[in-house]
Amino acid sequence: MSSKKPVFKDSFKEYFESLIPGELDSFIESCKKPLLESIRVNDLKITSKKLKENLVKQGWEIEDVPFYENALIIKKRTSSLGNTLEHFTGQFYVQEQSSMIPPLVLNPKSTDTVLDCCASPGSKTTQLSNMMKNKGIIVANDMGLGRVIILSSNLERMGCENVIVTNGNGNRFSNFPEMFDKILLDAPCTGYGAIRKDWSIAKMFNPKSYKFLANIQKDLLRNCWTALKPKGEMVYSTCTLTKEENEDNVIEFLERNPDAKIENIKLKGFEKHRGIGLKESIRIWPHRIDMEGFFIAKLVKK
Amino acid sequence: MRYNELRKREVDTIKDLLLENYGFVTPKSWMLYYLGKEKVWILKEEFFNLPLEKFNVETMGFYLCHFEHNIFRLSIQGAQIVGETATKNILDISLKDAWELLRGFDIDKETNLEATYIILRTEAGIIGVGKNHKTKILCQIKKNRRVRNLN
Repeated sequence: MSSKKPVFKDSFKEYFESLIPGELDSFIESCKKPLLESIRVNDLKITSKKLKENLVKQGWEIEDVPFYENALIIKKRTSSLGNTLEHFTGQFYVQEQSSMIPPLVLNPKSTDTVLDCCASPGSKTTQLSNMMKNKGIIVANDMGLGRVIILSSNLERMGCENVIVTNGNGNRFSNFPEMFDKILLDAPCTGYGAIRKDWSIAKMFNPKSYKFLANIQKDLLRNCWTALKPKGEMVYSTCTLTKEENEDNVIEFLERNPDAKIENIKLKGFEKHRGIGLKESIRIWPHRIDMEGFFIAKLVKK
Repeated sequence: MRYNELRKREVDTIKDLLLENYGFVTPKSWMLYYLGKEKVWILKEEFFNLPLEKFNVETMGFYLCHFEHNIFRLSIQGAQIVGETATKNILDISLKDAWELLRGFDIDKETNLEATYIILRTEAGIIGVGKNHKTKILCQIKKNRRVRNLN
């Protein structure tokens, strides 16, 4: 934790009380709890069962993740996650459970050309690559050069062969109309869903920030949409919990783009975790389900 | 990032080195390119259906090896792919030795293997290559991949 004690400003409390009346205290309590540790198994290199066996032999206690057979929750471990030979050889990726949902919802085929617009550090890109069995093409883009280096390093470790790493502003993909079958837009956001990982995020709560980022997200949504083929699918996700960066963005986008429709996300265990006024989407509140806060919506081009 | 296809002569040399050093037969589908000066990557044919020149590409495909004049060194990923079917110049090492290498240290180990760069295999998988000095294996793991502490 980067901050010794989480500080929740009055403006933070007022804002979230308005979104979840009567649940503020339990929401804040959940933000103080550390996240469950979870890993995603790289099934290009090892099966979930075999990795589990190997780690249990080393004294680890592991549970399955109910909604994804390639994910494991680490209840007890005997060394840090990054300092294992299994991690070094790319048998697993340390990834929060809710971050595994957007690629599952996008569900790419091994023949698809996929854009992962804001890809670094690569948790979702490597998951997409695994799901596509290293076939098809993924264009994994990020704006920061330093972030692209981290992304490339993770792709190498995980043995991803079908990825083109590009560096630049995601908005430029509007210059490539109807190029991609599927697009993952895990947009830059205020990150209020990740407070459990970094308490200092709560202290930074500021309406200016989420309004500013909501505009960036709108631009990315609009420009990436141009790059999507007809009948193509786009998953929009963030790790934040403001309505402005999530449901409001999607609703406004649907109003302005008659060729877009929202698809109901069907994922076992998330039937009740729905967006505010947007029941087709998923919204993960950390006090309702023991994960990082997240929002996911699936859009289809007519 | 500039990328250039390897000349036929260079491709043949790499194929020969893979066969000679590791008994590995290069798949016909491999398309070998330089990304940067001496780094050889395997690219997919489908990549070239996209306007790569407009994408500002940093990397693509997978990094196979470092290849220049007298040096032919497989990357960690290259060693893992080649090591799956390699028939020679693979050394099985203990987990203790693997950790030494992962921390950047050389290990004392006598071997009669012939290749300069030998594939290192542990019970948890292949961890890359080491430089063979007959009585020592020299660490070849680049600094950003090393493990700093064990806790």
